[in-house]
Amino acid sequence: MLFLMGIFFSFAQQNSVSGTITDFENLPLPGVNILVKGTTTGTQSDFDGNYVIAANEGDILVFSYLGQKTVEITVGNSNTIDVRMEEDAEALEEVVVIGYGTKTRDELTSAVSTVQAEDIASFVATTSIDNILQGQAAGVQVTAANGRPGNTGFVRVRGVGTFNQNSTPLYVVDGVPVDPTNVNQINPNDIQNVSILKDAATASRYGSRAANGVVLITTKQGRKGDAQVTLTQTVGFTQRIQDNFDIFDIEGKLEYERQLAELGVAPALTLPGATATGEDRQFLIDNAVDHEEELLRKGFIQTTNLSLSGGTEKLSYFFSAGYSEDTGIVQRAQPFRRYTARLNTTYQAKDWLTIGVNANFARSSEQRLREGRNNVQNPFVAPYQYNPYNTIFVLDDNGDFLLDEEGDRIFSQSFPLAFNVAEAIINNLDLRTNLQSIATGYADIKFSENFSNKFQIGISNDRFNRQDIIRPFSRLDAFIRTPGAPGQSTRNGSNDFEYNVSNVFAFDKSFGKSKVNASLLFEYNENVLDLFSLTGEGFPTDQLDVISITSLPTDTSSDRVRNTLFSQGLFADYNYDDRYIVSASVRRDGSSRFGPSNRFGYFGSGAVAWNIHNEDFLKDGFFDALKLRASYGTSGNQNFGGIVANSFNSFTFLELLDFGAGNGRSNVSPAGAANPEIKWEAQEVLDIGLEYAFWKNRVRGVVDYFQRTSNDLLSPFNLSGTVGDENNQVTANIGEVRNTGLEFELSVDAVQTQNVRWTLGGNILFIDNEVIELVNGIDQFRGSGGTNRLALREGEEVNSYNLVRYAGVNSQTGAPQYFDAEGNITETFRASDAVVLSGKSPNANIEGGFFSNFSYKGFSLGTNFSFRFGNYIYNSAAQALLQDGNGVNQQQRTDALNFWRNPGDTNVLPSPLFRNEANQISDRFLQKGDFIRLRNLTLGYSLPATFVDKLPIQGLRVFVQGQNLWTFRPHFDGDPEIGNGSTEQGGFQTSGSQSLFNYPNVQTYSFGIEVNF
Amino acid sequence: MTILAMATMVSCEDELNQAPENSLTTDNFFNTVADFRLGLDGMYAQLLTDDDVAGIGDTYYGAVSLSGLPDILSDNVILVQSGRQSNRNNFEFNYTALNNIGPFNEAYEIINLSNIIVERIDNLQAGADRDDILGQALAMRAFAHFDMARLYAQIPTQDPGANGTLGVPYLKFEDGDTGDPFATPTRDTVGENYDDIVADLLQARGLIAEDNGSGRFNRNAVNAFLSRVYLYMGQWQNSIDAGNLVTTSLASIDNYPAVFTDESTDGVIMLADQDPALDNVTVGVLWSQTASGNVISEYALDFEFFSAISDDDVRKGVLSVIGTNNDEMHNAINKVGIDRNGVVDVKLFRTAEVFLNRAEAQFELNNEPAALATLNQLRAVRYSANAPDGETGAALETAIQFERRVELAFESHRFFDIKRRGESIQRSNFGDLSDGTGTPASVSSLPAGDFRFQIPFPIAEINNNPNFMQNPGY
Repeated sequence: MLFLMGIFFSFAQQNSVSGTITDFENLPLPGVNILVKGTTTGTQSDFDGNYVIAANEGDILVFSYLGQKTVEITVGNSNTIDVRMEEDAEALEEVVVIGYGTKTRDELTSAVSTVQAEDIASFVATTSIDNILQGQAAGVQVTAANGRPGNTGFVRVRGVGTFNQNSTPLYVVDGVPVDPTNVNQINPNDIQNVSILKDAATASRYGSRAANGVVLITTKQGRKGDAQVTLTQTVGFTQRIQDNFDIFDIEGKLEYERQLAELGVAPALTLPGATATGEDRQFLIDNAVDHEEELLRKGFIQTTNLSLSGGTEKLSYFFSAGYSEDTGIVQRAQPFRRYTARLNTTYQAKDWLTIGVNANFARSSEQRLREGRNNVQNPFVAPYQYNPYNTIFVLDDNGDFLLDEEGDRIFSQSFPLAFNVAEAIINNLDLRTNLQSIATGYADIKFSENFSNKFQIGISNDRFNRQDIIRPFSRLDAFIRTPGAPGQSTRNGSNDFEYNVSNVFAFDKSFGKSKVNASLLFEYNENVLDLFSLTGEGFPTDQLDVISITSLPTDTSSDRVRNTLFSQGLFADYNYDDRYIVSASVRRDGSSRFGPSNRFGYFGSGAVAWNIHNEDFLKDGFFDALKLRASYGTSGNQNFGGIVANSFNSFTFLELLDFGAGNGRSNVSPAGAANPEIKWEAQEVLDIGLEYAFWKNRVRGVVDYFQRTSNDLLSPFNLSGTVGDENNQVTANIGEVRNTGLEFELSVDAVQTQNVRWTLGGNILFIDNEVIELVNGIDQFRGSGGTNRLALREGEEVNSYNLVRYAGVNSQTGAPQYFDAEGNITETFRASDAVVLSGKSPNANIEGGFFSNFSYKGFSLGTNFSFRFGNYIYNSAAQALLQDGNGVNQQQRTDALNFWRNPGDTNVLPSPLFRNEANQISDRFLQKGDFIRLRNLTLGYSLPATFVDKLPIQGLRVFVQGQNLWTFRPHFDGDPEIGNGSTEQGGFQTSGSQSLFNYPNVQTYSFGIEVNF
Repeated sequence: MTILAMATMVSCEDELNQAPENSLTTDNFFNTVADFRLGLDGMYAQLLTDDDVAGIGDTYYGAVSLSGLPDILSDNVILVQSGRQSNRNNFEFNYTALNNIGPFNEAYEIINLSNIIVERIDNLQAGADRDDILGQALAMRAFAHFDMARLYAQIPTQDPGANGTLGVPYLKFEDGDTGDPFATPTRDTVGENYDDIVADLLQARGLIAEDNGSGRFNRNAVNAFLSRVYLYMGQWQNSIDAGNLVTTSLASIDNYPAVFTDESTDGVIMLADQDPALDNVTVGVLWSQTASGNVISEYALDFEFFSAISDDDVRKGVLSVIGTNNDEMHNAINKVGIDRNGVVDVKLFRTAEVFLNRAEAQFELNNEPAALATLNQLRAVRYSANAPDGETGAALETAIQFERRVELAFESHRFFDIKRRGESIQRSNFGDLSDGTGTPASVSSLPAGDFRFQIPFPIAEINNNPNFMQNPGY
């Protein structure tokens, strides 16, 4: 049918002109806009540079393409017009989005990394923008928080500079600040480019919130011409990344139990390995379960995207709609789903007035699992804890499933299945939805050639709803039920509303070779967060689980937090002949989060750049670009308190009371210690950079040296427990931390011929971080539960591990040995022997990525690696699986058998007879997290024009893609790409510091097709 | 337009003054009797609170800490192998400063609030209300310090040198110990701690009301508390005298079982009380969980102890019932709400303890006939028949301690009773099943004088407060 239509169309287009468009090197140029002048008839060249357009003799065709000189050709009597376009040196300059404006690369005095839509295209199957940034820009480190569908990763720009919210940068989408956790609601297909502001020269423009860098996301706009329709569909599957260790199979586990029982290890004596023989043992073997197969699955993913864009002389539009689904890898769980829609329009209302609106809506839904728990409520703990002989379902004496009255299998509930996660996933539901809208509207007024003004209002609203259901017949309910009130339901949610009003008044003028521009900014930002939670118990029926039918309301709460930020700024640039550029900024921020005496903060920057390539002595020389730049400036941080703001953590400067109730009576108690002295965290950044390009721009690169010093660091300050604060902490300005680094970016167009193109490149960051100063020089320890496993100490890396050192096994007795604080060997484990381990922290010393993009005619092959070296991770998962006999009643690793047996044994685990002394948290399980990971591999094929021409479409591309296909991890047991270890972190509070059975990262295999109309 | 925008924005500066919606500041509150009484109830609520905000796992009487440890760290229970094995570390005396096993933070939160009340008490006019409020604040201040002292430090009677060893910081507004969140106090001695406890209680006794309703200190509770404190100090006559002022009578044999299902308050002097549905604090969850007809015991009553209790003793059935988990039977702990997920009120003071304190003190004063008579008063309302009688000398001392063990099991006493008497913990060799078979305790004793009788302070306190000395051995 399609084929027939194709014939029909080609038959119908009698008066059509076709041809091939090439660039100055005679390489086919796709994506060139072709317009019949004076009409709305237009098209684009395909991947091979071919085009077809309906035009009659005498029409004028306009060929335009970013970076090329626009060509106009009058149609003659030939139906073929081939065009060779020429570079437009001026237009080629990339426009870089920076704070409150744009600049060309030449004009820039700052370290700004950009990621363009073309770079993003190969990541279409990923659902989140932060994944896209990984390995793409020097100094930008992205770690998946975990593998949960739809989750956001941790993005860090140039190391750990602050301590809150995992050092997340400020995200600004089309000029509106957006909460980092909501960035994943933006459809990656809608993104035109991303700018990452890394140094003070540009980040300072965002003042008090820019200390962790700024990520500016700009979404797509329509281009002049006929409507372009793009339809993309991908499908694929995901699976857990395989471990590099083995756990016991049934026979191995029984043997392990037998051996420990033989040694006399008490908990082993009653286990099947010790007691079951003959037929009983065979029964267990015959009915053994592979819990990974029972509890996990291959996930299914699909994304569908449709975009429609175009424009006239005055109006442009970009519309898109998307759907993505990811079932996740847990059996019985409901999928993550996201729907997005966007409409971006601009309209030139008058010669002097341009208005525009960008609007984005996203809705997502998911079933959240208890992936952060460190017990068998977590479906990723269970496969590592359930023994192979613990069946998920109850079996009869023949090994067949026992069935209940309704004919369903019965979930087993014997230890360690006392809590059967398979049943919990069905009957204890945590269902969440988010509805997010981000919208901006602006008016750009040009008063004269020199004066202009841009007024912008942006809103970002995230409505979150959660329903947590513990069904009345579920196992969990049996444990926690209030007598007479079976079942429990919680409905909670929040509405996070942020609006931002800004006005930039700008002045631009050229005097001879000099150009001056200055902008005056006023900005007001207000965030209103509404929270509520309702809990009820007692369902009259098990067919409904809404809270409204419960008999006993047990908990209600609500809160509203308003934070405001009011700013004024002045930014100025002076440019002499595009050779010497000086820029400066100053900004004053006032924040409601600080007490009246410390409310205002001043931030500023100064920067210089020298475009050496524009000097006469280099013109027409070897270098296409050579720029030296330096900047120095300050930015701040006012984010502290919890991830979710509330009245208590938002007003640290006040000593507040907590109104509660007990036994039905109201009561009041202190909400926590206050710190009236709290003030802005200030960060000073020095950056010196060199940008270069040569060999006709085929080699491009950047080198940056930076020093980032955070003063008056805002961080929880540990208090004595005798003070009586709930958390033994108060937020305070605790000291100074410095990150020093060297960043390299390089890309090379190694081969550029008619049919073959090959670009190679990469980036690498060498970074060193150090605590320079702490209040009174006193170490600050971190870690929940008072475990103090991470430390800040002057002269050491941020969050250095503070652990007792393991000294191996006593080869004569099999006892575990430790070093005491003085370094003497002891067999007694004492927490007070913990020492701060110099140079061992979760911070990497080297990180980056490299890529290769190869194409031959219609085929393309892209590979993308990311790597990290020098960080350490406490491997709690390894400890849980090598418990030296303490875990004999649970699943263990096969190498658990490698324990001390005879005097003289070396290179062994401690004897299980010393299981209590051995199973301790020490540096025994502190492992290096080095890895190189093949992040993305994409093989694509674009149909040749000769074939596409026969179809009613303009282009068609198919591709297969794999993500996380291969990982080199020489030291780590498990997956070293760790974001959150666990919410029950056992003292490791910082992301990347611990591995503990969180939702694992997944491998993705997908197939996609992209059609352009 | 720009000017308009500027004008609008300048007025924005006023918006920087924001205030919390849900809260008031401490300095703007505590002006009326009602305000102060809310603060008192805030202190009491802290006894059961379980707001595990930052992963700090310690709760006070709510779950593990003082509701469970005194029996887990003793000879009353045995770990059941088929349970979830929670608290095994503690049962095997394997705790370190990394295991934050005591309610250090929760207790000092109560102390902080009591001092906030003491500090502001002059905001109230003199009178009965003010006296009672101050009395309750002082009593709770003493109570929290006492629990800290007996857990973390030696008890005066434990060792002849105990009073000179380090206790806990005793924080009083009157001494200028409060108000600075960055304070780093040092430990006082055990002797100073107990003197401060007594001083606060004696002052409280002169101020506090006779009846304050359920869940609060009153005059009887202060006197019962004093009889306990004096017993711990070896001040036998003072213990007897304070106990004699308690007017609450002993629970009758008929009412006794109902006391532990919260259907009776006979013989109860003070509770940490809760609403089962609204608060739902699972005080007894550490002993067992019940689901689908199975009782998953974590600990069972030690078989030797179980066997030593007479079948005529009403307390035997209160202490344990047979709990069946699949095919296994255990002497499951029944006393702490086994049939209601452990959601019960915590019995902080009962008249029976006052009688047992008195009997012990009388014995220590060599007044054996009086001691036996006191003990028999209790036995009379516990045994339905064949109550033991007539012991003298060592047998009488053993009898007093046995009745104390049976009467007060699972009420935060056993470990402290062994500890304060300078004895060793010696567990039986019986297993975890209901007939004494099964797996015995893997660690069977803790000899008198062992450093583990003083639990470790959280490592965080040692790190955060350079003036704070850890207990020896950790």
